[in-house]
Amino acid sequence: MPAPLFDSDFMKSLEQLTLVSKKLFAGRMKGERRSKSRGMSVEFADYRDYALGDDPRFIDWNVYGRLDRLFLKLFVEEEDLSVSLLLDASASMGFGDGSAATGTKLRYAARVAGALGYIALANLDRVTVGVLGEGLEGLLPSARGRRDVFRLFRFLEAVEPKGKTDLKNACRAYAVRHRRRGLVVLLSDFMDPGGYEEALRALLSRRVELVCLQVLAPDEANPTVVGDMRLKDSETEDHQDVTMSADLRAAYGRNLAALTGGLRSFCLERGAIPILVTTDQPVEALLHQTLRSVGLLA
Amino acid sequence: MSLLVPLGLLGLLAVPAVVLLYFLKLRRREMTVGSTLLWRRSVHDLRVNTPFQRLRKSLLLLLQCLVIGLIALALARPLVGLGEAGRCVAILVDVSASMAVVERGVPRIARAKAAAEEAIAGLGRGDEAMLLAFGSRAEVLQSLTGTAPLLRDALGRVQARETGTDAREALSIALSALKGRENPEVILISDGAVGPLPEIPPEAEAPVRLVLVGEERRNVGLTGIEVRAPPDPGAGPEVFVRVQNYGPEAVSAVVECRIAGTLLDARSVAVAPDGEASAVFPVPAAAVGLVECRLAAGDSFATDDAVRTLLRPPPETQVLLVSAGKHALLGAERALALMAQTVVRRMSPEAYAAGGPGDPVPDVVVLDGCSGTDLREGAFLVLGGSLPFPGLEDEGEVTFPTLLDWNRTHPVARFLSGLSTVQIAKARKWKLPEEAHVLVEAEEGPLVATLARGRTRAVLVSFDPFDQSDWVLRSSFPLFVANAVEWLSGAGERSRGEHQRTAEPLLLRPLPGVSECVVRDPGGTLHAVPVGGGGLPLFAGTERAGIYEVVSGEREPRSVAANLCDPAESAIAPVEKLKLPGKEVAAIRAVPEGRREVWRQAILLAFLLLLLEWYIYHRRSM
Repeated sequence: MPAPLFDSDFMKSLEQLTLVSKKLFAGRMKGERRSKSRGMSVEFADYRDYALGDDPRFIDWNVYGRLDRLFLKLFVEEEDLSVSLLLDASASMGFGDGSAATGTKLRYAARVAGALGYIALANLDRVTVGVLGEGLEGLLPSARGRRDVFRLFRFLEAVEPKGKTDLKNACRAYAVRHRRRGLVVLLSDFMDPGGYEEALRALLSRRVELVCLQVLAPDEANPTVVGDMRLKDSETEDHQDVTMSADLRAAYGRNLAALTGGLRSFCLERGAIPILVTTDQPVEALLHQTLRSVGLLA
Repeated sequence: MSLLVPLGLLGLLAVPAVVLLYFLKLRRREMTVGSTLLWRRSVHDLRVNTPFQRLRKSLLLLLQCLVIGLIALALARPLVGLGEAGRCVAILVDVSASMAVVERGVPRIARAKAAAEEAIAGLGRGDEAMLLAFGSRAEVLQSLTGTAPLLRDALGRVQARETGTDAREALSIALSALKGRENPEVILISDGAVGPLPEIPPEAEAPVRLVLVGEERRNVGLTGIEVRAPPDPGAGPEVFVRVQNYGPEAVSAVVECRIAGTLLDARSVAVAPDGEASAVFPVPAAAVGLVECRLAAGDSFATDDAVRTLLRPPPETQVLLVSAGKHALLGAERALALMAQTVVRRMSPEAYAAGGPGDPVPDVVVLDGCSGTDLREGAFLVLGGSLPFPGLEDEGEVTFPTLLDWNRTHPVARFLSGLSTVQIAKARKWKLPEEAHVLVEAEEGPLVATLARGRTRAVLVSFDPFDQSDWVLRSSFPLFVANAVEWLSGAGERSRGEHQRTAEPLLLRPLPGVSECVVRDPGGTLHAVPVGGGGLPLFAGTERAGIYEVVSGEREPRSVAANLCDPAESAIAPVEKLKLPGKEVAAIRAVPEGRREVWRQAILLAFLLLLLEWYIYHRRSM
């Protein structure tokens, strides 16, 4: 039986956090954050001319008395935030040190997704979870409110790594089905032979605020094995014979830096937030330090 | 570096096989990774940059190839060193008595053989070498050859002899053999005391290297023995022994003297540093047999710690007097009667001509005026007469020859006095053969001469001393007869103590008609010495100190003692410089390194690399 994703102390610490979106998106329901829409809250926003059909209750009669013109009072609408957590569950995400507390990359990513989902639900935001593989492999429809926390956790705990990675196909499928703007957090190792660029473009085309959280295992970030090895790909079953030498490790480091650097550049150029994390970094530290430092959490 | 067996490099063909096996059978650890995407790119990058990166960086493969390469190299028997190719080396090994000196438990000859083995091992392809051993004479053990096993076989036969040292013959042989050869070289392995050396002619110039063996210089040895006549009439002879000390400290040496195995006496002799002393042992008059004197305390050089001589009874000489004249009989018999241990038998010339000397076989035949008598094998004193001796030409008669001089140093003519007053009426004028030695000479020609040819020795008098001169009336005549008989019979040589130095040939006295003599050496080995043909029969193999026995071929078996008795050989201190005429050669302690086979080192290195490969393999697997 897998260990629970969170303990109660950790969840308490999460309650003090709030997801921050730099953009304001139109929500479906009233929430705890300001909306660009004018609505029914008590906070005055503006006036506009009365038009036929407007609710006469919001006519400012004092102004009519002074100016003899009908003006309608507008108030700031408070709406919920749509938070999409896209979790790469391809077989490559099953790699990692099974003995460590953090476990595989997928488990680490699920914990982060769970934490972000918990924070969102605690703030009455709308949370959607998509499981990515060769396509959109699983979906947790909109969850809202604290009552959906455990549904979220159960969903995340049930995710198993399998299949190949096809971020482009999976993200396109998600973007087609979920047209709401909002915050999208993509958790993946981004090691897709087909590249990640098309996938991100598909998400960004929906004008969402995108956070790319790249999760790597420590052995991926800094391989230490030596000798003649046959490396077996967890997704494709292909193998690559290598002789682990200093030169090969250096070349691997350069290629990894090119991958992470390329992702970072791609994101920054398009207003997205890139975050690189290895599974040996505690999730708490990631949430309280890294995500705060980039402004995702407040 | 050159290769003795270049075909051995065919073993390098195994390298591609190993490389192939490496790629086919390389054992790899399997490991599942999330994605091989980055690894694939990295390998691709490396391959693009360096096509042979995989080969170059595969340490194990590199080590395996090195191991195979080294084994192939070992099979090719590589030679390394600074020596020139195509050398021609003469290896001269000193086998004289001093090479038997034992130092720290190892005889010098063993060290010399080891040095020679090093020199042989240093021979490369195209090099040739010859092996000579020299003591008092040289022996070519192996002529020039490029086959090391032949040289090693020859080296195995080298052993120390108990003789003196004379490197001249060996060096001459070596230089002759190296003459005209490319890169000649002489390696002389010795303790340095090699005696005078010959001048090397410029055209036969070859560098001579003296490889020195030996360290010890202290030695006390017996370097001489003599049996002297007794100082008093009726007493026994005295055995005189010379003791020499070659050390820097004075020593007190105890010399034991034994006769026929029985201890006669022991004397303590004090010998100064680098000095000598003597010990004298009076011997009973009746004593006969082996006399051996020995140092009670031995040292590192045992050969000179004992000397021997054979004490004989006074010799008896058989003389056959062949004469027809009563005067002659009277004169000759009177002279012979003066000699002790002499038995005289008479015979007429006719009987001698008809039946020979008869029994017992005489030691000396005295021919008195027997013209035409054939000189058979044996010893003859010819007193006048015309003789058909080959090479001797009778040129007629001379009257009243004028005596000029005589050889006073010859044993036959010694102690003669008043010869110049002898009157001679008639004498034969002889033209003597080259081997004749004139003892008494007149203006007209030789009067008395000695002649030795083959197994015939003769003393010739060209006039009749009885009828044609007054010599028979002079005191010198019986003395002359006695001297002649003693010289012809060898009685003078057969002194009471009989011994000789090692390496001196043993003169044999075979009976007439005997075809060979058999000699037993101190080791008990029998040597047959043919005595046919011209020249004196000699046994030259007296290279060991001890007792030699002539067991057959002579009238009766006899023994001869051979001693080293060589002060130069007893001086065992190594000589650091070789004095060649015109230059000096400093000794070296090791054979100059030639081209040396290094296949053993290659195998050892291959083994170590194999261990390293094994270690790395397992370290990577851990």
